Amino acid sequence: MRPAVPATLRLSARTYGWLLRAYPAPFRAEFGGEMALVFSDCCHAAWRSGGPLGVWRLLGRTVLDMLASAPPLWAERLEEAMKGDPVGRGMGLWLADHGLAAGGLALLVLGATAWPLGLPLGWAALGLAFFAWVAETDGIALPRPGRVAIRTCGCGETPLAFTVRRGDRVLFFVREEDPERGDWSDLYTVRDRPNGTDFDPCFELPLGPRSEWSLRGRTPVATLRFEHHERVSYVTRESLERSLVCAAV
Amino acid sequence: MTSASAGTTISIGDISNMDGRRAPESLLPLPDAELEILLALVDGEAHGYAMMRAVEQRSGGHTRLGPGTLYAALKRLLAARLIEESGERRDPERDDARRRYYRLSDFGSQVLSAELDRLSALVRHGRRRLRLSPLGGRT
Repeated sequence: MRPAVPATLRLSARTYGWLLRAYPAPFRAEFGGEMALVFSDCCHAAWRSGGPLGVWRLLGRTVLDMLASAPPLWAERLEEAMKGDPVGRGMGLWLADHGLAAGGLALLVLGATAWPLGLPLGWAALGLAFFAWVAETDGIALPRPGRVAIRTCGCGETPLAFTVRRGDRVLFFVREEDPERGDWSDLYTVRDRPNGTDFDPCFELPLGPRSEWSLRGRTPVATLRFEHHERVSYVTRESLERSLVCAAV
Repeated sequence: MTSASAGTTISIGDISNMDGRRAPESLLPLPDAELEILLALVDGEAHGYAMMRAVEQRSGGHTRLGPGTLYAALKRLLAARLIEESGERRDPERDDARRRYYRLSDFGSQVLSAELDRLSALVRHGRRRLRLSPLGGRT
């Protein structure tokens, strides 16, 4: 056996052990050992087929895999941590919304007093926070933990109609007119928006029953929690799931 | 994470927490990695590396699941009870460490069938629109 074999494999195993730290601790505790074992199997296969270059290629692919798979696990972890803890949830959501700007300011203070590198990092964080704010003001929905972007119609806390994407489907929620009350219904009617329909709820008033769109169910307006920003609206994921259960979607 | 423009996906792990009476269709569409894993488990139980190889072989090397993608998907599938652990033991073909084995659950089989039906309908629709024959080539 050539001496480079164990060295390359040892180094790659050590590097992967270090990469595993990018995953949340509970996930690492449950699957980390198995993942290291699978990576070791892959390394041996890569070595047999491509030598040291094969192993380094594999390591490169694995870094990309880590960059793609770790952030969603952290997002899940954050949501789990926030469940059932209103204070933690509030703090988590505040951090998700304003953490970049707050962190940028803190870095600027740090940069001006003790750590010179804090200045460029702080300005970069503030710049990113500014662009995120401009994007949302411009109507671009940003990914937000625990919330789902919706396209709405009607102002106020509860929109008259909105669409939300779910996988490759778009669900259309609409409050139909209740002739008995002479007002909008307290229920959202949920329908499937057919794929490829170019639809904007804002241009579809007055809203009537859309019999041609398949009916999924009805859900009380009160189950949904909305959050409105300058030109983008969100619904909390938790309340959306609750409403979909009510509507039996 | 979700966005209107990028496409919102409610994770199957989230949906699994809703209630015990779930329709298989409520978990559709399955993300690619989850679908590949369920397909790899159709023939019987397997450990992580065996699943990875099965996916690579089935796709002719086009689809490669990294360890992170594989185990993140396994975590979600376990949470949604589409798969279950079937014990920990050595692989008889690889005389090394003990490995955790996974198998498809009954509910997982139902979800997989529903997903394959959905994809078949989509393919049939696409072929009709493109005026392609069911076996390939234009009519």
